[in-house]
Amino acid sequence: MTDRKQPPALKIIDKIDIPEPEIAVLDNHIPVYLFNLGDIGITRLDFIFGAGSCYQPHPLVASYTNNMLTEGTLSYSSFEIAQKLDHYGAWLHKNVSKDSALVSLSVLNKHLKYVLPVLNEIINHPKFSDNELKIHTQKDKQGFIDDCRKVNELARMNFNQQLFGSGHPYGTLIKAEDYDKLEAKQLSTFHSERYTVDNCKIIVSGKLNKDILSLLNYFFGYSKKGKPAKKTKISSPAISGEQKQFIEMPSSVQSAIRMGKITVNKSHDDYKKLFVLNTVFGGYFGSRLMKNIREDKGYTYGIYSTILSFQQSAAFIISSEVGAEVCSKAVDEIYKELKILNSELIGTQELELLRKYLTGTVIRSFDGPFQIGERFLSLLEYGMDYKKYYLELLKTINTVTTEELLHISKKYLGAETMLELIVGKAIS
Amino acid sequence: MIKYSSFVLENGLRVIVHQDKTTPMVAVNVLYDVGAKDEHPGKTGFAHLFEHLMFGGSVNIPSYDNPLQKAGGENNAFTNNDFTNYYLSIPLQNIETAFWLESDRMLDLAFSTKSLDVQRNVVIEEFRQRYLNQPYGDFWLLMRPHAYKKHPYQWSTIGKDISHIENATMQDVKAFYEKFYHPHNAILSVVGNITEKEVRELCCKWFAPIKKGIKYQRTIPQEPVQTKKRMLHVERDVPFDMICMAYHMCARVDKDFYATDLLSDVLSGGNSSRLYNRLVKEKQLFSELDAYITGDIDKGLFVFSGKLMQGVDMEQAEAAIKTEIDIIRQKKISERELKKVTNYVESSVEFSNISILNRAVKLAVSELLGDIELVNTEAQKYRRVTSEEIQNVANKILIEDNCSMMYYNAAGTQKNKK
Repeated sequence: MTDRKQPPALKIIDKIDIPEPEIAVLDNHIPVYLFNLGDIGITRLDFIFGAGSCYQPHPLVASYTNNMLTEGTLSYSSFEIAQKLDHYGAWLHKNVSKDSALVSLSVLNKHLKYVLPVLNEIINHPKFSDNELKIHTQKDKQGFIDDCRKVNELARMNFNQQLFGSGHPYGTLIKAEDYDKLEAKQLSTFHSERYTVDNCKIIVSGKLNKDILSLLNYFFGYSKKGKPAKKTKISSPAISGEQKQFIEMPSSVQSAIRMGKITVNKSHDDYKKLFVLNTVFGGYFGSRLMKNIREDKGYTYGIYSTILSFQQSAAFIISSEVGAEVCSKAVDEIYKELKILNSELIGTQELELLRKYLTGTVIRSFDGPFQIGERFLSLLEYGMDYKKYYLELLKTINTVTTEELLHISKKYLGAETMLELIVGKAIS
Repeated sequence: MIKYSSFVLENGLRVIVHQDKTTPMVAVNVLYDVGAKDEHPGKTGFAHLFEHLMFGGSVNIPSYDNPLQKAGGENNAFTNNDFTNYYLSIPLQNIETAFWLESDRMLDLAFSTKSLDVQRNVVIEEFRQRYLNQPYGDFWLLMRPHAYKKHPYQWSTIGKDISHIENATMQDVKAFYEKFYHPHNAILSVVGNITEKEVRELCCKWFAPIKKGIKYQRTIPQEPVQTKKRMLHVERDVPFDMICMAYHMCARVDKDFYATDLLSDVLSGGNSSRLYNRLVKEKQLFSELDAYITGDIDKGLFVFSGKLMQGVDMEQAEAAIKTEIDIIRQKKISERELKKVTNYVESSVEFSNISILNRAVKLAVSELLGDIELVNTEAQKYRRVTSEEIQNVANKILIEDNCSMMYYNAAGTQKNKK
């Protein structure tokens, strides 16, 4: 008879396969990183440009330059582009972060060569028109106004400004009027300055066709180098705003909580330890915040903490939506947990569990060619060796001591240093 | 092509194995054939509450999450109107931990009072977060009872009324578990670098000793054919007006299902779709507009929902959607447009098969639908659909008498209208 109280023996898992990309260069010197892996006949192409929102002269310019790439080019109308992509079942994903802009295409191998000419048009020959732009900004503005009725969205937008300060490129707060002020000319300028050959990198992942490099060279290796993109180093320091802020939403049944501060990014020596510490605190379902505020008190559907790493800064952020009537109790509990984290050693059992969990998470994050490409992409912007980074991360996960974590907690997550923002109903 | 094998244990548990040698992880999926539609009308929201309680410890294991995390695993679950699904992924070396955990919570739960008290609160906060505290958040809470008068699809998984959750007793919860949570009512699928033989051995050890349970016989009132257009007006404190039209459609295993799905893609799949190009971009009547199917196992809904641009009125929006409906009813779609939507579906199928978890879920759901082989044949079924069939489906379901319409008015805007 099986003893069900006895857990099955666990195996130590420390083997992880981190493949190196094959590196190639197009005729115009655009670097290409290829991960030819797996057995699924899909190719994914990620084009990364240093064209994030921190480089934009006005709000929304970076995101609309990226978004409008598909809305009309030299040879095709926006409808023709959409039709061609849909016809070949190609998925085009565009995204802009604070630092970079991404254009990502996933397509069945058999259709790749039909879609590349369209992708070339999208990336190299967009034609920004005020007419198309206005259609998009006017509908998106309505979406923005809807978002401003959500406590969580308001908290996200405003806390960003509170953290970095309104004068900092990472702290921009978008307003509804910004949608009306945008002009196609601003997008063309931004495109010609930042979607340039020397500001571009390509990651290719999947089970790749033999001719992939020559195809890429034909469609993307011809354009001339042109003027180099300005390597703007953000000079203005981040100046955080008020320590405590409250935004009233009188009809709200839940309040959104944000707490956090500026911290170190991925390229800093302490980051990996901070990453482990953050996971203990609020980075997974078994975290202290989740156990206390959801699983013990039932104040919320979910509570998390995270480290957002940017090229030139980073932020530690705690976020949750809690019942309006228990909001102050929840905030007290968060501070209580922070103070424990700042003053007590993490127990051996808790840390051992975390080591195993995080090791599994890292292995899982390398499962398949597209995930591997994403891992590589996440470090490319920092100019860091990704294999070295992940091997060191695994090592930190498995060897960091509880004393070291306490030191990191005191150094980076002092309870008294946190900024705080509540969006919701005022409870007297 | 997904290669799999399957077998059934003596206690009725159905097991499906798909070996994939390329991954270091294993996906384990346990589907229980119980959804919100199986709830008593006076005690709704239980299937979903149960999804929460299943993590509150089982008869021999005080915590589900801790041992799984220790084994490097990660898990989650979802509930819909048809079934409840639990899934995890774990490094292959520790696969037995998954069998130990999943079998123990199929054997019996711990039923702690603390867990019930806390999860009741968590679900209430989930209800407030998703349905009350978002603009348009109560949309489906309104549409379901509007479109369904008899069938239990008339309530959402969160429940008809949150008091049902507030008042849930331990006795209710135990009875629900007894009725639905046993091997006879479950499907297990395993995907990873593991053979059928290995899965059989693990099943014999962990799942086979669980007693069979009484097979639940589903008797659900079917929705009578709708014979007259229904209209619902609501006013809410939201920034913009929204319109919704829901039409009854066929069941998931009906032969018309694939044509109906493609009909929704012609209208609204991707940026080259008809509704997006004509009504969002050209006429600028909507800021967002979608046509989609709910994809339920029993007869589902074909839904149009759109948010109106400021200054557009409901009648204008309704008329524009109806014009598109008339066009597709009167004129067959071109071969080119048909080819486009079938290519689109083919890609979607391939893309969704990348993840081992997705494959595990699909295998279990296909078995639930009565044919595991659907994981391999669905793309073909879509490709066989003709433009006549799409037109016929449009003429069958997109008709006035079959429509449940809702005007979801932004507070303050209605006074300007008749």
